[in-house]
Amino acid sequence: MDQIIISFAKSFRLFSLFLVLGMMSSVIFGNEAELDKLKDRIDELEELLEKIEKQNASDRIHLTSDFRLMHHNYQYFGENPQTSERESDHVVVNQLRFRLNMRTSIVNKLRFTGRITVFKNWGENEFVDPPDLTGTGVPNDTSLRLERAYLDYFINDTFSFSAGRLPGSGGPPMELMENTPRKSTYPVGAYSIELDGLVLSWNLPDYWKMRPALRFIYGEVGATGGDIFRDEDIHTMRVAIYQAEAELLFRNVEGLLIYDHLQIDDVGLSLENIRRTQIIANATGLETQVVQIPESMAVVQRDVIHLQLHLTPFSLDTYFSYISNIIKSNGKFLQINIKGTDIPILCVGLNREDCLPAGSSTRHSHAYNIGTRYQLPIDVKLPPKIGLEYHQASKWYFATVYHGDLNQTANINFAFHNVAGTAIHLYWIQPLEKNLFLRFGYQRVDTDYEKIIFSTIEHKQHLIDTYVLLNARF
Amino acid sequence: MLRYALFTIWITIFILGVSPVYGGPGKEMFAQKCLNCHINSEETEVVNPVDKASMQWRRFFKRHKHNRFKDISELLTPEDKQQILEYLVDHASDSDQPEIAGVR
Repeated sequence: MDQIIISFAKSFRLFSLFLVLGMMSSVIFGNEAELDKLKDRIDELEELLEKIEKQNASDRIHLTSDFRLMHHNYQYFGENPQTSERESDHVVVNQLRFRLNMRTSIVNKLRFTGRITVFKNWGENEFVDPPDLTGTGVPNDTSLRLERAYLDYFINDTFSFSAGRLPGSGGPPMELMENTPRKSTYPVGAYSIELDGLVLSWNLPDYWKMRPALRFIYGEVGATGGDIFRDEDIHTMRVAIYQAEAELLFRNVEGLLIYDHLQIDDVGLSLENIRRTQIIANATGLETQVVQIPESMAVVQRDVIHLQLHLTPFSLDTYFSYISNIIKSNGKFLQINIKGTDIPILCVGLNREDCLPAGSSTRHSHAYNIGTRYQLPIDVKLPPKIGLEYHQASKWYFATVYHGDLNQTANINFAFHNVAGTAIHLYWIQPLEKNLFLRFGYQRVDTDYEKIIFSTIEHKQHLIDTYVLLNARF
Repeated sequence: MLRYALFTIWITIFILGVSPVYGGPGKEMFAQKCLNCHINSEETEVVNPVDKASMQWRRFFKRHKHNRFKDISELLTPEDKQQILEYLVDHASDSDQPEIAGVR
């Protein structure tokens, strides 16, 4: 393409010379009609050159990158639930994140979008820990992650079909603190992990200052426990999301209203947990016996309402999300005993606080997220933005992350939108250039409950993260 | 206590937000001033911010290229032009685009 442009530019230069000579002769001989014709032709050529320039700038595989340097200062304090002793820790982590974004229009109706990501702690070649509290999509090692890779097929202006690894992580309202446009199909409160599946979209015509759309999302996600697993151990869960959304286009107020209903019918457990338990038991000289391994242990239903507004005259964004979670346990549980005895060494049932085998239970939990971001009215080229976010959730709440770290933060208990307790985040975005900004932040996570596999126990822990990050897009 | 304070702040912001306010953001200015002709008229083509890269939009405004087709100097004040330009540059083909499955 560059060669085409160069040759085109050379031809254009030569042609322009003739045109200028022509214009001069026209001026000399006073032929104004001729002069107008030549001007029109120059305009035409300029338009043509611009099209090629634009194509070169934006078409084919359009690669963009996102590079981030982070400095986190974590302070932990809590109480050991067994000994009741107070514990504290202080960790400083320097980290980098690199994302490569790909986008191309294969044909007019078919588009590919992809993103690959790598995280790395300074001076560490394998693990990424502690986690970034600001969201999911953070692996626990330095391997290259395929975050999204999907095709959009636009059947017509109304219907479209998408398939692949879907853009599901970091949904609204996370784009506010990331200082980007919307980067996901559904809100973070509904689901925020990499989901492999398909989306059917019905983009309805504008109706009374609203641009509504209906989407059906079906996907599969594999739950593993992490570092010791075999392919056959992965338990695949099927996720269905029914979404109704409307882009709000009021005067001075733009917004987004989303309702989601999510259902997972086969919540189960990765066998990797059994392997780990067996390995630990064998190391201590105990032989183990698997009593039962259920295929599925529960059904999860979640309803989410998310309202997000951008008040343009005030340069202010604000949002509210309410999430209702219902987990219907079928009473089945996983159990490993010491071989030849009835003594359990591992007993896991969804939402069980004990190891009693009888009965089933339904757990209801809820959470809400509120937040705002305000661009300071300072007369500078790139004014700073300040933001405040608050999350609160009840005991049995789990939101964007499941047990396991295939797609998730390294520590689910402290992931901001997953906390069964409260979390607050205050940040300052200082743009340096159009695609370069600093963000200073303070996050405090207060967990009331800890999630251990599928159980939830009372455990008050506090984690404070004071951080600064530099983000560049190019 | 903190959650009630935060909730109060949010409600205040929300109420302020839905109150009648005045001002002309670039998107609205673009819709009013540009799309009025570029959608409703058969003589003109539909204009979209992604039609050009940001540098091309800047050049378009700097060189007053629209005047070659139609003089719009009386339709737009310099402030209007600036707002429209900012909107077009922010949403140009080389800007950070939204990523939503099934949305162009």
